[in-house]
Amino acid sequence: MEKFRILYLISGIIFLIISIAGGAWWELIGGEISKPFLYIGFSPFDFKFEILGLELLKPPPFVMGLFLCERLLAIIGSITIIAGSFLYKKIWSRRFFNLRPFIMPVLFIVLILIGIIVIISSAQQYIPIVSEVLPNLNDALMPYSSQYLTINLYPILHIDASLKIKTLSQFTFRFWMALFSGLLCLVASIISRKEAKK
Amino acid sequence: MNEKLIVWVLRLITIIAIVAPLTFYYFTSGSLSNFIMPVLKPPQEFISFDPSSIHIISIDHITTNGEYLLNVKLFNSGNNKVGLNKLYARITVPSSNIDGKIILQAPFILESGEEKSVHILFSLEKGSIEDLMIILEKGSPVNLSGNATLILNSIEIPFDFSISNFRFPK
Repeated sequence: MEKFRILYLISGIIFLIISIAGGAWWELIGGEISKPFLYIGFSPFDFKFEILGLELLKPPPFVMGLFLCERLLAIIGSITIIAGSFLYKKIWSRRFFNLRPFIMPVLFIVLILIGIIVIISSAQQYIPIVSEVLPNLNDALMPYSSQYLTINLYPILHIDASLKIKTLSQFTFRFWMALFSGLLCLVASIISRKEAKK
Repeated sequence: MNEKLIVWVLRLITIIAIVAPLTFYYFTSGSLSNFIMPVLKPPQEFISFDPSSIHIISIDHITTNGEYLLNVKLFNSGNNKVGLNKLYARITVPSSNIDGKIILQAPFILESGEEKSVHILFSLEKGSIEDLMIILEKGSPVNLSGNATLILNSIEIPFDFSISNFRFPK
């Protein structure tokens, strides 16, 4: 088996496990990690928004459909990669290879950054109370940025007081594994193209 | 095997993987508005919690060794179980040279409709107890900053706080 097929195989297996397992790729935890009072978990396959351990926002069926689409595409993409790496005697097996394990985590990072920078900034600009009550919302949501969400109580309760709630915004182990699988897939694709040119 | 056929089969599978879930969710949602609109379900505890449902019935104090032990009687008129697991705060009085700290002696939980005495230790690092008592009796503003862990039903919410110009009830 060629080197690039081995890389594709490892990448496909990792991405298949990640796609089937589901769970959050990015999460925001408010309060203690063991018992959070606020939890937002997001991935290309799932979205969870909980307050006090209870679901606050249920995604619409349209979004649930998109999540299922993405999961099916990821599973199909991984299976074809794995199949392609085993069918090394067939010339058409290269058609089975795809860059989904790389594209999904990269698009996910872009989506998270756009969501935080553009959408939250617009909300703060057009709904001024958001920036008055939650002045560092951007920082609190940005992965590995701030560890506190500040809540100014004056605009809502007219008390000259502020609360700082411990938050943790991070990419999860699942995301880093998906990105690792994507990088393996990218390297395999580069090697495969170089070998094809020879 | 024909390469073109493989390419077309892969494309067909991809299209089905995109169309089938969206079609399924559209037909199970009942209408276009249900299909697009998210469902907001704020927990009842969150909606019904009102900080003003905690009433201070009385405040007594004992002065010992430069410390001031407050006995605060609280009443919970709300529907939620509320309490404090931890409270540590620094207190400063802008109008005088008083600086000290407040520490909750023991965690407490107030059930709905329950009245309970809570013990809070006032320890002064600058200024005298007599000056502080005069200030508190006058209802002069004080600054408070520190951290606490609020108990709301089964959830604990740790937070830091900073309150300017706070007036203790007389």
